Amino acid sequence: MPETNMPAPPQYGTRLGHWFFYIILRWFGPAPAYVLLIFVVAYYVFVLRQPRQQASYYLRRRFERDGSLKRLFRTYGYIYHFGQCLIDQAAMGILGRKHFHIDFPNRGDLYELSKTKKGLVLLSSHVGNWQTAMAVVDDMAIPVNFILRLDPRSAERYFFNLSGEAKYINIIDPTSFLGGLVEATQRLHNGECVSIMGDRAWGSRTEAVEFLGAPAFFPVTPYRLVSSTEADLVILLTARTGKLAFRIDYFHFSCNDLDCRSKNRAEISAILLNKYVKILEDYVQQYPYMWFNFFDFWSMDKNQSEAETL
Amino acid sequence: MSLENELKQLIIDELKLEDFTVDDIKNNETLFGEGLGLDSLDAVELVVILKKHYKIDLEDMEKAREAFASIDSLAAYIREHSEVK
Repeated sequence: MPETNMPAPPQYGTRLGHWFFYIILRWFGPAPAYVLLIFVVAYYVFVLRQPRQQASYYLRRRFERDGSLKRLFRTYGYIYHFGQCLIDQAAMGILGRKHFHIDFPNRGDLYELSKTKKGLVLLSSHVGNWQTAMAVVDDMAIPVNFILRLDPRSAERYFFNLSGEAKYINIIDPTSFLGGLVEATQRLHNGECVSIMGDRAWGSRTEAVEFLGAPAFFPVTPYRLVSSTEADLVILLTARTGKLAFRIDYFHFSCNDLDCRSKNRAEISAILLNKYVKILEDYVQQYPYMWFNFFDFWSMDKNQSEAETL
Repeated sequence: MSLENELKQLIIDELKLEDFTVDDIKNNETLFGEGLGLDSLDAVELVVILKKHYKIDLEDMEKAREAFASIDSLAAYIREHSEVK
């Protein structure tokens, strides 16, 4: 169960370091923060071993032919992109969304879908600046419930605590009663939106699906929520396309499209999970430095035992 | 059939507990974790059962936590929040 077996996400930076970036962002904007990041990332990649190890789970699958030197420099680029997205994420909360250009062609589709009040599972991933995708909540006609654990040291706290722009946000703590799924299911019954990550198991049930050449373990919770409540599923993937510029891609699946009545819940879940993983795999082919997940998806037992020691 | 037994049968059917019969589940047995061994995904189905069969919404999570402790507590919750006696 999630509350007894939840891996801790990796953490980068000290409280002082976060505060320093915060001051730079507030006084000078993101540009000098990106410059400072060059040196910070060099320290993390070339001095510390743990960030290289955590990045290697993904990079060795995505770039399997790399030699050790090439992988080292690729790791630098990868973690630099990650740092840029963390800065953007914090900047969005601190400076406001008006400083960002968000290209979201399906904005109207999402709004119309939310108006049906059938219940909506919004599936996000650790890609690009995923909080950018979550900024679409202002475009929705229903409350949005995020299943996530807000770390007081993380950059995303700025997004959720300081932006103040979204009116209908509720946080469901995955460490709460039964992983927050009782509340999430009820919210879907109420016709609301539940937002959840598709690429972080949090110790809940997983299924192995072929991903980057080998079976990887993905959580089944989002798809079980959909199949049990007959809510719609929307997958949002964000990519950083330039300085303070993002693009959001949108994929919608409904029970009508899937002919839910002729399938059982397990079949529907499996279909949706496979569709999600295919979409994610296409994404990492197109944007190889934008999937920021530092767990070993291909070896969940090992992943969890390592996480417990972090 | 008593409400307790009806609940057990619904849980067996909806959660696909194929090796269980109504008699295998004790009224005071813990549903989640130790006891019957249900997990958080099974809780999703349980919320759906309450909505679909008893028209019950679970707005108060503290009360839901108490209700989901056992068959006895679940039946008591249903009696309190629906027309079923």
